[in-house]
Amino acid sequence: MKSMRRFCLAMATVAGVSLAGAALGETQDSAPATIVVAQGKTGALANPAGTVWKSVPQARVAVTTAPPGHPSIVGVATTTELKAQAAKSKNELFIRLQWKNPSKDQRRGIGQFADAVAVEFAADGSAETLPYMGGDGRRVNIWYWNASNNAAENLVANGFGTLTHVPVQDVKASGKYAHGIWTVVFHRAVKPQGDDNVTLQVKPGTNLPVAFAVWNGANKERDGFKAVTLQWQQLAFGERTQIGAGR
Amino acid sequence: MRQVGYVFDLNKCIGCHTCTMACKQLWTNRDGREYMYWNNVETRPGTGYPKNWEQKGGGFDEHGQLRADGNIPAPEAYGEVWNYNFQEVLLDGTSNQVVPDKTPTAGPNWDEDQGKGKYPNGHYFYLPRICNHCSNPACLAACPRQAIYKRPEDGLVVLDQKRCRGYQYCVKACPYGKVYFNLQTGKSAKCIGCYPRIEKGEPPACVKQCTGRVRFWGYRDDTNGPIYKLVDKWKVALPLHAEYGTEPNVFYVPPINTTPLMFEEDGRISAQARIPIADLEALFGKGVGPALATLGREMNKRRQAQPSELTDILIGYTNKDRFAL
Repeated sequence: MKSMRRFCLAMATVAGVSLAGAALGETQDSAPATIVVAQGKTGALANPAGTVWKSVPQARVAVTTAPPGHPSIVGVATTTELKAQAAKSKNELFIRLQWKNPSKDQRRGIGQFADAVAVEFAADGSAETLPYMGGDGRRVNIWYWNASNNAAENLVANGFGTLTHVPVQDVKASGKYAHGIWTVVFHRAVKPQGDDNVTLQVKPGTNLPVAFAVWNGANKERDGFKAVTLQWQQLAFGERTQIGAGR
Repeated sequence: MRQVGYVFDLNKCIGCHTCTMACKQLWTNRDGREYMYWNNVETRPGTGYPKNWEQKGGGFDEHGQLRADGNIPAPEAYGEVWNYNFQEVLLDGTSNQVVPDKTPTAGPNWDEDQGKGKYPNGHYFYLPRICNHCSNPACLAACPRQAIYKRPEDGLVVLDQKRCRGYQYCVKACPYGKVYFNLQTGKSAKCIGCYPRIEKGEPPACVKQCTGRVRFWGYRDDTNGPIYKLVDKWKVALPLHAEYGTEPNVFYVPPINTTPLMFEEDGRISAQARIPIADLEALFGKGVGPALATLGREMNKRRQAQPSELTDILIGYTNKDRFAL
């Protein structure tokens, strides 16, 4: 019953967000993606180009321009789709994201912004948390990768404008750009360090809400000017998919 | 909230750039801030620094809404760094002329003393510029992260380096081009009003070091101080581009007779000022005419050996007269 209530609340949130998106003339026509977490070994999975990823199920995730939360944020984000994969070893969770980006934007300068991507979790793992940076005491934990330093940053937020770099920086990420496509792998120990980090010690058979954001640096996308999933996607820990078992 | 204010008397500015160098030595000669001039002195008429900053947009519209049309100036608008071929000329002997390896198109002080008008009626004046520490700062309004705030004790607009994530909305929103992006730290940076000096009872470096005694500094609400008297009592100090809607706290005494009156074609001196009043009004608004009239009237009093509080204030005999800490 409890999970059903959560589901209903999550859907209500999604409906509200979809209406906001429609009012902005944006499209939100896809159901939340389910990203099945496969089991694997750590070494090869940390490599964005690792061949092991060929055998991990891939989900298509629609992204669209985030509703602007501040008068400074204007523009239409260019990215429309991500491909997401996930795998879990005994101690670590890996998330691999791929998206088309026409240019490799790695430099930050005066009026110049780098490509980036982020994964967002509700800090308490609940879909009742707003995917828009959380709020009302419900925090989100964000893993952020930026092409300028090809590294991950661990962040939390409790509402718009509150994004904060946290003391525990235990998320790792690496990205590669080839043939107009960025491939980035995030990974972190399933056991959280510190109070700010989401726990990834999820019971088999349950889903963890997850959201994504992409920034195209060439389009001067940064901050809230980004392409996002307008609702929580599902990271499914239940199916015990083995690497090599096919899609 | 208390608010500090600055008055710059443009009749006394000799364009020596001591203010600029004082600021640079103290704050912007290192750590990714090298290209920035938190204080600059530009020649008017001219393109200014960063180049054509008056066309960059930003500020607020007539309804008080943050304008979204601002631009982040191009790197070349600040002036690019270039190197000379010293190796070839001095060591290798493969060239006999020292030349830069880039062709810069702008920079601080780029069009110094060019001004406007033809001989013998050319004219220009100097416009020293810093952050206006606005009462309604567009940079603050533009920051989605609340990284910019006004200090309650003095109203200085400061940027929290820990909150800033380098989005540059503030650079875009400041219509004066006075917020910069630090290439080394990846965060924005701006004039801090020398708050560490103020906290020790010293005026800002650019103010204290001014050899022309152009600069006055104090609290806006100090009715005995020079800022209140020049801005609110005598109304001879005017904000720069008040129409941007940011309520700047740097005020300028417009130039009066900094250049001689116009020459007639036959060589006689006319009664017409060389700097067109429309040019001054474009910068300082409709208060220019009354301000110049007041200045002229009070200067005439002194020529007739009558006392004038206004001219005494503007002479600024001592530091105590100019800086009301």
